[in-house]
Amino acid sequence: MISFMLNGKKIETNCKDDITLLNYLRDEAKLKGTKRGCEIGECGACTILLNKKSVNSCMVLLGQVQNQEIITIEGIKDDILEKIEKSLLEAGAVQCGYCTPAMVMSILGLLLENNKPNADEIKRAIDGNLCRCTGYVQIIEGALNLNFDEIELNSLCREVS
Amino acid sequence: MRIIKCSNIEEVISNIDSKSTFIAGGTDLVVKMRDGLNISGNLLDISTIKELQKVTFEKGYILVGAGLTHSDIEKNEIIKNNIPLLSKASGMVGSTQIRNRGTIGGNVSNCSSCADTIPPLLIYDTYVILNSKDGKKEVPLEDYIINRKNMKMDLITAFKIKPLKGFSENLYKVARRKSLAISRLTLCTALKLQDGFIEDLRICPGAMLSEPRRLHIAEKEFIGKEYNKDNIEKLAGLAVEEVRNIAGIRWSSPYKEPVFSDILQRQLLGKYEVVK
Repeated sequence: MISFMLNGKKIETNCKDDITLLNYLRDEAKLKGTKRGCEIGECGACTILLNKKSVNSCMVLLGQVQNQEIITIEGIKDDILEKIEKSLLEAGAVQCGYCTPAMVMSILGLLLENNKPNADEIKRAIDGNLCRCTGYVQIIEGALNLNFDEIELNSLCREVS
Repeated sequence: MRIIKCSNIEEVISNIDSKSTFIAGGTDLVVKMRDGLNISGNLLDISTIKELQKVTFEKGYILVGAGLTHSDIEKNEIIKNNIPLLSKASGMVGSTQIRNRGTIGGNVSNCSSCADTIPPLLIYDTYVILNSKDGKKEVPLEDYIINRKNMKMDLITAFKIKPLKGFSENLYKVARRKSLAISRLTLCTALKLQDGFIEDLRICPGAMLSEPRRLHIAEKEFIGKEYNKDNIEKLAGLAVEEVRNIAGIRWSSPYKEPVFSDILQRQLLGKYEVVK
């Protein structure tokens, strides 16, 4: 039995411990906002927060997250998500959208460490997130245009009923 | 195969058997498993052992826990101020996600010829602290690299590093992109001058040899020599020769040799902004 916190909720699962966290999230927990891309840590489409740090879920084994805290795009509170989505949309930062959930998770990972990042810091925070259609300029602009003071980072996850 | 999540070093040691594999960040191992690497024994997960994630001072040395991630090391003030080449090199690893997960212990035990953190560690004459069923031991990193296949059942717990005094420390990485780029060529140097002479000199290339190592022949030849442009040019020639003697001529040599020689001269002549 592996137990951990997922989006603010305690999970206990009997899944095999050597599957990747990515495969668990998509195939078992049915959380498809975490995207499957290269599966070798190069595209960043599967970025999630593990203990509040952005990591590639394709490089983490399920058995390693015992008693740890995981947050995926689905767990983020609506008011935080809406602000980021709006800012990205206004900057024209979403075309196909495949990289977007992971971009949001990387931006949140950055904001948790640094709540007033500049363009260079944003660029570095998304340096492991590949985007092949929109272009990084709009994504960086979308992140930079956020009103950082309005984002309440103390509790990222939506209320669990 | 089973993953055993260990909460302290003792628990790791008591679970080691001849088939065990350690896993920390998994940024190399999980990719290899996906490629078909078969792990028959238990995976001992050390990624959340707090004892392995500390930076402490001990009798003039700094002990850097093997379980610290590259992000931890890049941002740590003690490391930044005392062993800055290590902090800079850790900031050059992969991407934010990989730096948040990959550890220095993993980078060293994986021991790729282009590992970002090894050249700085070799420049600082680092010792590797290992724990196993036979107890604790301390091995110079150079020896660990040569004999590491016999130490697979030893857990690296920390790196013992002495800060350099009075040296100018340099690090330069050549890669295809700024991010997520494997080093094509890295060069770390540390130079200490005294009244216009070279008092001490350390040179460690990365991604040029099959295993990372210092260029001791070139270093020794020029310690005590006058510090001038001519001598540095001669030194670069000798360093290229030493690389060639160790690694032979490879397909990449026509590119790497002149670039290496040029970066070495620029570093030693102070043409780059020094790390310290």
